[in-house]
Amino acid sequence: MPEITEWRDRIWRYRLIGSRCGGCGSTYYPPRNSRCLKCGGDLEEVELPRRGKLLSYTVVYQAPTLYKYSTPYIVGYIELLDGTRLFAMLTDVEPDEVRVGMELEATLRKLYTYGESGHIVYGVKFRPAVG
Amino acid sequence: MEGIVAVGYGLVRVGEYWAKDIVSLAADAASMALDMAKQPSVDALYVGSALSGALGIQGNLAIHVADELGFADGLAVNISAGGASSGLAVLSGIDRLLSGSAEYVLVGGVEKVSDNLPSDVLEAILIDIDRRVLKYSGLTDAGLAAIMARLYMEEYGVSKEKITSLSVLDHENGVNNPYAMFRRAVSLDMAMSAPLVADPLTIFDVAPYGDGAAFLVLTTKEKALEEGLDYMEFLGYGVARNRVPISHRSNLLSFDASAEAASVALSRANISIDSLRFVELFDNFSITGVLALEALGLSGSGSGADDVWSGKFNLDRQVSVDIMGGLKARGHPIGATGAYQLCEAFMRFEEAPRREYGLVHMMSGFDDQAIVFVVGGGGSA
Amino acid sequence: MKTSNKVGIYGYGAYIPRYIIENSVIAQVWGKLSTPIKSKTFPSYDEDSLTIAYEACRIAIESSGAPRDRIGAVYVGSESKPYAVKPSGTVLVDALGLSRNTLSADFEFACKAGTEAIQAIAGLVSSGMIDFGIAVGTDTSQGRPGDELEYTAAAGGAALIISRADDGVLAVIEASNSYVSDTPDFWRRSGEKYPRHLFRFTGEPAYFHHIISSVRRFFEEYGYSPKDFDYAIFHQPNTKFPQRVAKMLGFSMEQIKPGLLSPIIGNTYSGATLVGLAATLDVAKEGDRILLASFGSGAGSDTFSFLVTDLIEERRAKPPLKAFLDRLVTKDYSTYVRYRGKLML
Ligand SMILES: [Zn+2]
Repeated sequence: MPEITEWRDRIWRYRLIGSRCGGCGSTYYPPRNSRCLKCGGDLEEVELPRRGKLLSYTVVYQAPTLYKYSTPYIVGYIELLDGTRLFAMLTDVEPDEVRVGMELEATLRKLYTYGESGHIVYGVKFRPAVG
Repeated sequence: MEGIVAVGYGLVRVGEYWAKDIVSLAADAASMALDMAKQPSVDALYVGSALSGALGIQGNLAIHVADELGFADGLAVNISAGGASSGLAVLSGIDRLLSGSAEYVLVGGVEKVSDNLPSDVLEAILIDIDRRVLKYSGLTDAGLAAIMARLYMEEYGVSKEKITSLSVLDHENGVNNPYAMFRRAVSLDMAMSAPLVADPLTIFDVAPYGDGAAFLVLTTKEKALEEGLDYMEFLGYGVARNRVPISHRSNLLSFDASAEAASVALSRANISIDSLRFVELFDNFSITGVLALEALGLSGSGSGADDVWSGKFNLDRQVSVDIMGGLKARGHPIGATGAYQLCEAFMRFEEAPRREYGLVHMMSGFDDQAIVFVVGGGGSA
Repeated sequence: MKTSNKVGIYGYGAYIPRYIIENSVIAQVWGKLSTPIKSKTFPSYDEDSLTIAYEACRIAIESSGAPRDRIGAVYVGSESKPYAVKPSGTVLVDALGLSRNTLSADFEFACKAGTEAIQAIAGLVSSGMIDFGIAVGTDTSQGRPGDELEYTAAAGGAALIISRADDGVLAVIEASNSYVSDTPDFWRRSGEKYPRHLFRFTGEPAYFHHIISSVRRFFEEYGYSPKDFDYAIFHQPNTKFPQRVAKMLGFSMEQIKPGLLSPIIGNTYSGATLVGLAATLDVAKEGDRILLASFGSGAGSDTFSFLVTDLIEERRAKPPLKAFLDRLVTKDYSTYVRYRGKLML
């Protein structure tokens, strides 16, 4: 039952909860349960900034089953304002509108569903910043 | 390293085996390896397979392969570690021999992807790499490689053509490999204009998944000489891991684990990188092959694609890369790919002068766990 | 109805999807010559009434600085819930990082589910049971292909955070009224994808009768008249109805102008009057009085009077609705059909 595994991840998936090192300030997303990779310091939960810029991206044409009906879709490699880097799907933007360096903001969207009658999995996606 | 050698190899051409199940596919390749090694009594079997369990094909695969081969006793161990599965099977076999607990071991890998929907295979692969990062972002393995390719192009001002030239080289070299999935050369134009898998990567930047099985019989050098068997010697190996999840890495383009594994392997073998004759890259994508070249020390950072483009690693050069076609032309039966690379190195030593050294690089995910073997030819003949 | 303790709007936010389809494009597909509005929004393939509610709530909370730990109710009004059984509010609570010690339920009353949620929360806040509550009206309504509803059924939503006036509100809820009767103008049976309606019966005996009854009774009860209001928002299933009902009640086109969005965005159902209110609050000044009258099929109408305070400037929605209107892009029928899930897969 993947729904249960995914339920366990929902808070960080919905809210951009990451880890921050008390020692050196490094941040991580998804959150780490262990220690800081850079200095070995203790990590604490932190809500990461919702804005960032696009470092790189791809447009996926051959998709896994769960995303089969979302193609073509864009996945970005994003650097948040505090320097945290992560991968997330982009939305409300067409492939020919995407530019490396563009300003993005986090939003909540449907990621995929387990069929018409199945569970809906929501999570963070990024869109071009509005306003 | 203390004289561990391969004395037999066996493999099937990578492709689609509709009429074969995973166990008999493995047995076909293993039997060929055992024949070449003159049917030794095997003390342990290590079978790598990335997805046989995840795709619901056959769990606990090794005991079924052992049974199919008629092994009455001895260890039968299954190893699932993505693209590193068969590499770790080989390592485990070497360790078993080094510990003195075995005289002969059979090691290798098998993968069966044609029994499942391609999109289900993609899903299993992305979950295998990192469920939390890839599944929630919709990233496929090709998508992640595409993001790396675009970063590389931006960072170093390198054209896509130069990255893709590694695929062209693979196809050129694959023509000579009887076990390659694709045995035809392709032009750069054709590779560039092919359908996109994940922009900017086309199907020619992506190693094709296929069914396959490859096995090697390993023993001690002492035993091989005693039995009068030709062999390929394992001169050194190194294993290292990079950070996961991949989003926690400070530089996506730096394959630190591959670099570490190569450095350890070469120093154990006491061989300098300049004395290598060939290098087999785990180029599951053109860009990962380029990044591996740089990590292994064959090219400087940002110049790997340039070097391939300029022909520096062609067959007629001092160090040749992917001499049997690499993952792109031979095909990529994920958990068996590492064993294919070693079988191909062995094939090379059978034909070419034996005083040569080769380096074989393999990894799971994107440098998540890298294994490097330094090998050389030899025999009593 | 008046609350015993003064309550009002602490913060608000509205959201509409990026995509619109022009009525002329739909009309071309079905060979129709006249259309009710110019264009309507539709949700992207990854949006539903819950993600729209999330956006509206997030804007409301972030723009107002409402204390997340003091929000004691999340009521979501919608006729297009992602699940028939499974509340949207619980996802919102966790996605917005609100206290889990909260009331949460989904409200359904066709297009007036959102204003019904406001009434309920106003009562809870006034009574002291909770300090803050969020009322949301959100929909991704569907019209059967070729049906009259296909031209107007749109997507959008807005959220109001309600608190006691002494916590500092940007608009006081002065009074409200509700009027309902059994009127089968429009319905959707359980398990059905598209609603049914009785054509022109949705006008006179449904929309007009209920809004006019609700507003007139409200005027009688509290002594207001149209000239007391700077702005008015009426439920807007198309362009004509809200204009006509405004005229019948004695309101001018100027009064309804900032809140009349249906010509461009269509009928956002439970979102409609709240999105109109948000657009009006985006331009309102201290001392402005706003009338809102919703309509829900089945049928009923809620009327409210809001008096804008000096907190309006610092609490305005960021981004305002205009930022979303400015990013609208037109799509063709095939994209619309695909994103709306009208293809059988
Ligand atoms: Zn640290």
